[in-house]
Amino acid sequence: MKCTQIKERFSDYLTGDIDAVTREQIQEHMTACSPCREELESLSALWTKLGVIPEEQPSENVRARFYTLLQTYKESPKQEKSRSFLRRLLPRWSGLWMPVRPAYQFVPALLFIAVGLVAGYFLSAHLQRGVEIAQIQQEVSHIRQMAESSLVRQEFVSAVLVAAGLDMPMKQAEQRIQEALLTPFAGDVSGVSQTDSAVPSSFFQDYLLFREELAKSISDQASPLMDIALVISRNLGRL
Amino acid sequence: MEQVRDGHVERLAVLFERYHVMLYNFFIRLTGNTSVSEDLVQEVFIRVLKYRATYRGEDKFTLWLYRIARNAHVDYLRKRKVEISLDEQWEEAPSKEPSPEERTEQAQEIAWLNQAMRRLPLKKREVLILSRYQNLKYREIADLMGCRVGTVKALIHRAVKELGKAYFELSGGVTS
Repeated sequence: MKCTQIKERFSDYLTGDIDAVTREQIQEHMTACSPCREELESLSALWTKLGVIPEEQPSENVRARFYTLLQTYKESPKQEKSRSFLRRLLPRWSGLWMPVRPAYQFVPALLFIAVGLVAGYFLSAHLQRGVEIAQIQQEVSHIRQMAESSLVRQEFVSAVLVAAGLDMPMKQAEQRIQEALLTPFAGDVSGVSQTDSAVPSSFFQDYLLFREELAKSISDQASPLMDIALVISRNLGRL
Repeated sequence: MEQVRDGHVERLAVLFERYHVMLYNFFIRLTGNTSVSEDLVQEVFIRVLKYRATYRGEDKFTLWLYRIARNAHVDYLRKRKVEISLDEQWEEAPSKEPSPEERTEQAQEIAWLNQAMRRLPLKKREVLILSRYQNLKYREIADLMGCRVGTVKALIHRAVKELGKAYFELSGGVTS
């Protein structure tokens, strides 16, 4: 071993934190190298000399102050109760993943930043899609309203019924739509036959008033309307 | 310590009885001032109470205690507004003449050693105290100081060399 390598082990030699092989190597080197021997002898002498400094005892004042502190702390009403469960839990929980050395703490910190960025990216994309869907729904709703109001103004009852169908369920249909539906059955029923092809049978279910008015109008009409009644009864089933 | 952490603060008295002399000696060798050292011992136990929830069972308790002690000492130096970097901090040795009792050979040696110790920069003095008097292992000192084991070894070597020079100067070349 060279002198520099030997000197690197001097502190091990002094503290005794050294294995037998290294100790032997150092001692061998000392026999051949007087500068290293002199340095180590000087260091060893001083290291031993440091042992003469006795352990000192603090004054009784330290003990008295400590017990006063402890008593005051125990009598404090805030102690322990003021510490929320989370405040007590957090340091232990963080101890599971946060390294003790500040130098290594940047690794989990970077990891958290990365996770935050990725989560933020996906969340913003998701929110963007949500906004787009809401816009499409609004546009469809506008189209439905326009189609509905346009159909209600038609003279054919089938068109009116289709308009009402756009506003399902019927129980929530506006009064004006209900009136538009019932008017043809009270008078001219020329348009009623068109309901056969334009209106699904499910449309008439749960709408008692409509069925009653339709039945009344059939009984009041001449024979050609019976064909229409038959067509409708096929659709209505229970009429 | 686990019991103290879990709310049995009266158990801190046991820890105080076991460790307060050790802490006092750590501080007295670091500062050379008895009243400051006593204050710092008190401060350490205040902090143990305050931060007891942060104690992790897997840590050696004395290591955790020394970590608190070092922080308390650093804060004390900051309060004193010592305008020297912490690595090169230097506390002035008391310039008092040795008392008649100290005039015996061993007492004289102790006085010189203490003065020489206080001439060391803080980091070297701290490493030397932790290794020579507090009997901490290299790994433990490295963990405390946030450096490598190799750095600790080198610091000990240099600290003893510098201490030797200072002692030689103080003793006027007398080596017994």
